[in-house]
Amino acid sequence: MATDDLTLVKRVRGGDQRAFKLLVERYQRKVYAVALGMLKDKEEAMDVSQEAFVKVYKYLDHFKGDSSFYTWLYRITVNICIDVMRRKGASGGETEEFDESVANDLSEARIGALGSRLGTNPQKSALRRELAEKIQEALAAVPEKHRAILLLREIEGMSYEDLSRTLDIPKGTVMSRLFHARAKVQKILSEYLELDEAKSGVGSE
Amino acid sequence: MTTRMPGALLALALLGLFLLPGAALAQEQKLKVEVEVVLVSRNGSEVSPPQLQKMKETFQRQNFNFTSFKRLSQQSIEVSSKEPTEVKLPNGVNASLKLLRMQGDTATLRVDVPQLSAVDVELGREGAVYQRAGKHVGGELILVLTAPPAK
Amino acid sequence: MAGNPACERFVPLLSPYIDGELSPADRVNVERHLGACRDCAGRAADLRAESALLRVGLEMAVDEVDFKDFTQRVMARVTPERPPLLERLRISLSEMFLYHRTAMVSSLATAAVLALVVIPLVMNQNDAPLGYGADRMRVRAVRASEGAKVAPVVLESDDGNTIIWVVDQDTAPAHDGSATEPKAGTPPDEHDELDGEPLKKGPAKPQPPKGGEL
Repeated sequence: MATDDLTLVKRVRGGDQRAFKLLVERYQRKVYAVALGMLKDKEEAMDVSQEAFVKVYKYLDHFKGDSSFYTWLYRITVNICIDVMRRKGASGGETEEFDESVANDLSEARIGALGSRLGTNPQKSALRRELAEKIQEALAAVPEKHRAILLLREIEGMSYEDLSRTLDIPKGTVMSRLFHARAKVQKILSEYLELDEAKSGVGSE
Repeated sequence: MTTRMPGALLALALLGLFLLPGAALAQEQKLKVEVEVVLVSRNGSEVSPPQLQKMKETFQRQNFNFTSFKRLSQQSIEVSSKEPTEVKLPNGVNASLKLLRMQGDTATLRVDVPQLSAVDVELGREGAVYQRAGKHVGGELILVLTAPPAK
Repeated sequence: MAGNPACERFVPLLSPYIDGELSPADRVNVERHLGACRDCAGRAADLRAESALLRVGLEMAVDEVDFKDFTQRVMARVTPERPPLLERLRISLSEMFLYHRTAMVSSLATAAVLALVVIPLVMNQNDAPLGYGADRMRVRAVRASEGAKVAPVVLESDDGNTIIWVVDQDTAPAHDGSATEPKAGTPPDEHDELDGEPLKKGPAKPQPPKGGEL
């Protein structure tokens, strides 16, 4: 039923504004989610998301049909986010690559802390707002490029192939960055949960 | 500044700009429009099909208090610059549609509902024109003009 | 790295493993190891939980946002660019003729090239149905039918729709339509303004429909 992206893109090029509207509606939530994950700030994320679509529209003629529309859209989104962060001078964690100590952190962290507490499919209803905020905090601690990969993987479910194309990096880099980004986020989240559990334990007794 | 010569050249340039599409245009032009006939009344609150909800909102926003919107017909018709195309309305009136001109890629259409009004509409992709087309069984007929769905 | 020295080799593979991005051979190896190593099984579960947590957490944050105006705002920023293309060309052309007589010949050449390039482009836009070049429908002129004692009223709403209502001049107060007439509509006579934006309103008084503003 839904018209595929490339057909819509063709229609936009043909001057059909409605087709572009459909594309915006299709991706607005996800683009915003990526921007929010990157920037943490809601308003900035909103501005960036709009900017991304406007840019996409403007440069639609430069879009080659050889990659998928959404990889292009996300690439633009991520680049705008990185620009914004650079301009602010605050790019969480800087761009330096992780050193091996982080990988070791993973093994130091309490294994199974997250898994046993949350299962593999936490329900939205069971998730507290506080935790959602903590997630964004944890993301902010991840270097921007790693963060972008993690977000695109989790929000859009992009394959490593698409990630490599979207961000213009080899697949092996995708793999290692994802691994490091996850290790970092996991460390922060499980520490938080641990702490939280200790607190509520005291409280209930 | 402007002498006679630019006048001629301007004409030439404009020829270049506008006659190219115009060449095809000089002959008979045809295009499609979507025409619906909707009966609006204050009897009941039926909106059928539900797509007419939008129309209802537009009317409400303009302070009309119709409650019932029923589509009586819907057709995609071809209008041409030569002959008006007729749309028969259930109240015996024949509305007629004619292509007045084509300017660039935008057409202007005249919709004539005898005894009521004639409207010149510049066609666009969004929006609708709701034209009153006379009384019918306790309500009003409205002629609705919209763009055909994009391919 | 508790106990099992093999873990060192497998830990970096767990992330691509839960993403389904391992080669079949690697996957089999990882699964065999997971079967034997409780630590790594726990690590894989952690990764899955984290992945879901990120997704759900962000979804939650996105749910808080109202996207109602989003599309509109994007479209508003995007739309003004297109329709006036010809308009702008026309303006720049006329400017050229006014001020740059000497450069005119080359300008003309440019214009010719532009004409050759632009027109096919414009014509190709007709994926949107032929004739529907404007972004929305616009009523340019309205008049009462010949001999009819009516006054047409143009009601343009900001959603891009236009209602053409006709008020019977003779019978206006008596007709069954007293309630069906727009309360907002002013009495239909020579003074036809409904509210602001006179340029956009079609003139409501009878007049030949030729004179639309274009």
